Formats: sequence, structure tokens, C-alpha cells
Amino acid sequence: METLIRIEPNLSEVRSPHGVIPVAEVRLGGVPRGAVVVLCDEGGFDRDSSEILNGLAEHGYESVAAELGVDGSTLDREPGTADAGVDARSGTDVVAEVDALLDHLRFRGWCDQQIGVVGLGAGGQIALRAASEFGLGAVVSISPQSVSEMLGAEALSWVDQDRVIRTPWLGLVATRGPDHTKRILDLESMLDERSPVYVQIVGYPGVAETFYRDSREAVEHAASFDAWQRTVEWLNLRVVPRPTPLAEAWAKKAALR
Amino acid sequence: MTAIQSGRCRNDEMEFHMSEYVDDDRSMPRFRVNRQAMVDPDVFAKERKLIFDHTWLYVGHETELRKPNDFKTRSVGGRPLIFARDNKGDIRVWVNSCPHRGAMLCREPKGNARFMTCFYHGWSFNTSGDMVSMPGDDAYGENFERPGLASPAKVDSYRGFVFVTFDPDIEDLKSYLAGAAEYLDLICDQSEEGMRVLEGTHEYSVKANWKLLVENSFDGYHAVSAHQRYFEMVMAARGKLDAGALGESVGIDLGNGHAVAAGGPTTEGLFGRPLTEAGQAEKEERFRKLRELHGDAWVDRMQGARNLVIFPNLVIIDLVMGVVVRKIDPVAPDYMEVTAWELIPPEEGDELKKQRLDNFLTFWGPGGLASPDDVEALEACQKGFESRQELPWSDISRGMSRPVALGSDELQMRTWWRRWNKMITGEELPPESHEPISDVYRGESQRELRSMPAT
Repeated sequence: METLIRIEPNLSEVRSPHGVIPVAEVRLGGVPRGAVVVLCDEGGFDRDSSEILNGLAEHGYESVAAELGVDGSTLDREPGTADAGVDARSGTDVVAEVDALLDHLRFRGWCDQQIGVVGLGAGGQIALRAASEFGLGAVVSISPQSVSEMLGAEALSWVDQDRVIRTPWLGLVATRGPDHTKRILDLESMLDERSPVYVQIVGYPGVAETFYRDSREAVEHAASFDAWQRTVEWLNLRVVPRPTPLAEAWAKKAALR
Repeated sequence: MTAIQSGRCRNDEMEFHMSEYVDDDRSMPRFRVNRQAMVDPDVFAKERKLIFDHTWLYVGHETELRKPNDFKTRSVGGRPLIFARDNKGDIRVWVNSCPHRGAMLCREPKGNARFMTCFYHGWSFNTSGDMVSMPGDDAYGENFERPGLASPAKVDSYRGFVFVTFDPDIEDLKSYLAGAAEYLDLICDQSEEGMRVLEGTHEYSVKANWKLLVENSFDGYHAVSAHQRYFEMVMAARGKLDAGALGESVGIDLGNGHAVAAGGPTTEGLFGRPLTEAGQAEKEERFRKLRELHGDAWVDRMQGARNLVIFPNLVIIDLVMGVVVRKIDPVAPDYMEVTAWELIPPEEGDELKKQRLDNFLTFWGPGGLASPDDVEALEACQKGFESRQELPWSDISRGMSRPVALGSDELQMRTWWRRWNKMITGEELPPESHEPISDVYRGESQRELRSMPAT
């Protein structure tokens, strides 16, 4: 994800029905390829967002990053539940917050099919919810918490609530042995059977949950590299490109024929 | 090879037709194919132009594309194609070549992608074939016509089997399929939910001319000799083998070069390991329901084996509990590539499915007891054709003098070859005259009869 030219993200706030969400944002000139909402894991907003937004800019995506449900947002959480992440809030709250971030991009002229969502850790779990709630271009969940715990009862029970995935969804998860892998395959097959769109889960054996951060460990470095490559490819294959002015003019001309 | 020499000669009461490649002598009777047709690069080039550019060719089954934007890349008629379901869920077939400079857009055998971007210059297209972006489009100006993906002249499907043709003037698919459509119905009616292609393919190559595998695919004559080991296995598993059932099959000309070796109801149990008690019970229950829906006459036919070839290169064999769909792709005069899929009724239970897969792999698998025998036989033929100067003709006469051709006869092959001969040389050879086949092979589905308007 290293870039030669570094863009310093603009820090601002986005209003949601539940309060104000601090965001980091990279806007691009010309005709960007698409737009992405990045949902960071706990502490990731300060640590990772600049790197990720620059990495996306390299591929033509302007993007906005937020860390939902942590200090700084106005989410109404009980003290002492900081580790509970998504579980501390209702799904409705989370969805409303994601919708607010999407609105921020919609206001800049992006339609839903031109927007992707990439979530990491706890943000990955929210991204999965977003894939269920919204018809976007593409969603990627990298090491989604509770999807990895998952694979766990919590996520499975969430999936079991007759949820369908509406946006093509890619899950990138650390795997821990054959039983865990089997649960991942079961989940993938359940989501795939039920959902009208394409879903895929890729497992990385022998890596930590935070494998998406680069490491000196060869296997984690490889996982980090592969996960980022798959993320960008998933977006490129599915997020609808914004047409250039000439392409729009051509489309109008062709429609009149 | 020089110009086609064809002719029709009458010698007293004896009549025979002989092109450069096919000797169809009805007086002896004898039917022969010149081995030059199996080795000659000129013949191979003519086949591309005169057959593969003017027939309906199988590209894939609709159930292979389950989700919007699923795609498979296929080679059909020598062209690279993209077989896709677009974002709206419609089946589409595109030429897998960028309209810009020709590079293949998709270089993977399968996947899911709403947009396909050429890796060469970055032109991008959606699964509906429209161009969506091109890097630096301002260099082309506002009047530049942005090309979409090219497609074959026509795309159509029959009960989930998707075909393409590169001939815009060809007859419609249903007419082209002629009598073969009924045999597709016999296969498709085996599932109320719709037969589905199982994920995964068998892909193999054979160092032999592609027409040899066409012949082999509905050649009942070779079964006992070439697949001796398989029948020994069946005997060992069952304790006995009713070889008489082999004789209860007929060869049928289905029109347009299509033909089938169709087995009677007794051929159902001829192949494969015996089912477990639970598997047998489930199978009987499934067929009991099918009998209620379609009637005995249709299901009796359904339960028989069948080896069907749809001209020129689609093979569908319903045998050993499994339906194999096989696409034969000529690559060179002495080399072909083969792709095969298994078609299953999705509602089948786990036990029966397990036994179906086992029987399927035992017979058709790359390490099975039948397919490798066939590959060996075909490669041996191709090698033998090197002596074509001394032995120019292959004989395919079996059953010409019989009142009704059996499945172990060679009527099926002759039917196919007459069509081939017509398309390559222009010479039309009349179909063979045989007595009508038994009513066992003519039963219709009650469901269709019920749905017909009263007259």
C-alpha cells in the first residue's frame, strides 16, 4: 500500500442520526474511478486510515474513513464496553451510521453502485451488515470481528436470521485449524445459497487476526499483500466506474439513435 | 487435397454413392470413411469453415452460471468466448477479444465480475457487453464510436442447454435440434427442479482426430471388448450381468446429423455398482413420482440408457446413473480437447448422490475404467492411420442390412457422417431405410399430451 506521492487526508466530521462521526477523507481531481467507505478497526482510524486511503487513491478511488463506535463518536455506549465493538450497539444504529457515510459520498455525486465499502476488524463486521442492508457496488470485510470469532455463534446466528447479502461481498479471514475452516466453508455456502449476489470467503491459515497490517513474519506479510490485492480487485471488478464527460456525451448520443 | 470428387453411380440394380471421403454403398451394403478425413489439414480447415461456422454449437448449461455476473470462458468453434450471466441475470455470450487490439479480456476459466478490463490497454466492458471506460478517452474525441463486445451471430437455449452459432442465416435452434430435442427432454424431465450441472469439469486431451471421439461416443459395439475390465468389475460387484440387455437398444437417426443409441428399460441396470438398499428405495420413490407426472411410457424410456450426439460435437450420455455432457473441441487434425460435465437432479438425496458420483467417476473419470480405454483406442486409431496409403478406408457398415439397427450397430455414426459429408462436399446421401422402431422407443410424456389443446 505504499505510495510514492502521499496525500494527507482531510479530517472532518459527518453527521449521523446518532451524533457526529469523525472522518478522514481523500478527494481526487479529474474523474475518479469510484468511491469507497473505509470502516476501521478499533484504533485503526489514527493508525491505518491515511495508508489505506492513499492506497485506494492509487487505484483511482476517493474515499472516506471512519471508526464507528469508538471514543470520539457520539455513540451511546455503556462504560466498560469498549471491547464489545459492534455488539454494544444495535444493528440499526450501525446501519444508520454507514448510511450517513454513504450520504456523504452521495452528496458528492456518487451513486450507490459506484461506491464500495471496505471494513477491517470490527469494521469488517459492520461492512458485512452494510452488504446486507444496501445495494452497493462491492463490499470487502477484512478479518471481520465476530465473523472471525464466528465464526462464531454470533455471526452465524446473525446470518441465520434469514439475512441475504445484497451487495457482492468478500470476506478475508484468518483461519485456525480444520474445524474453523469448515465453519467458514459452511458460512460461505449458507450465504451463497441464500443470497442473490456473489459472495466469497478467503481463509488465511496461520496468521493473526490483524494480518491485514503488514508484518515481518513472512506468512503475515504474504497474507497482508494478498488481502490488499484481493480487496482492490474485488472493487475493480464490481464498483461501477464513474463515466467521463466524453463517455456521458457518447451515451446520450447513442441513446438517441 | 484437391477439389472434391463426388459422384453417384448406378450399376444394374446396385447403387452406391462415393465422395472423396465417404463410400455409401447400399447394394452390398457397405459404408466406409476415408482415413484421409482424419489426418488432412485441408479437411480440418474445411471443417472449421463449412461445419463449425454453420451449425449450432454447445457453449454451456445455464445452471453453470448461478449468480449475476458469473462467467466461464470457453472455446467454441475455434473462438474464445465468454459465457456469462449479466447483471440483470440474462445469459449472454461474448467473443473473448478486446475490440481495441484483440487481447483476450478474460484469461481465467471462470469467475464473477461485473466488469471485464483488458489488461493490455485497460478498456473495460460490463457483462452486458457495453464499454464502460477507456483510459484517457479525451484522446479519442467526442465522436469516437465506443465499441461494445462482439457476440456470435445467434445465442439460444433449449431447456438450459445454451448454444451459439456464427451463421446469421441458420435455422432456429429447435428446428436444428430436430429429433434430438426429444432426447434432451428425456434427460431434463428426470428432475422436477431442473437438472443442474455439478460444479467441476473433466478436462482432457486426446492425440487423435475429433471425429473419432464422436464415433466412439455412440458406438455400442466397442463396449464389451474395449471396456472388458469395467464389466468384470460390474460382474464382481453384482454377481451377474444381464448381457441380453445390451441387445435391447436401437440406433436412431434423429435428423440433421444427430443420432442416438437408445437403450430399452432393461438397460437401466446394466452399468454401475449396485445401489444400497436406501439408495434403491430413494430411486424407486423418485421414479414413482415421475411416473405419476409423465406416465409409464415416457418414464420407461427415461430409465433406459442413451448415447446422444448432437451434430457436430456435443455428446450427452445418460448411462451408469450419471448424465455426462461432453464437448469435443478439434484443435488440430490429430489433436482434440474434451470438456465434460455431470448433470444431476438437484433434489436427489445424499445417499443416492454419493452413489451416482461414485458410479460416474468409476466409469467416466480420468482414472476411471472406461474413459482411459477410449482415449487409448482413439490414439491407437490415429497412429494406425499413418498406414492409410495401404489401408485408406475405415468400415462403419455394421447393421446396414438389419431391419432395425441396434445400439451396437453403426447407424448412428453413418447418420453423422452423411451430414458431415453433405457439409464438406455438398453431396447429399439419402438416409437409410429401416423398419419402424418398437413403440417402447416412441412413448410420449402424458404431461405434454395433457397440455395439448383438445381437437
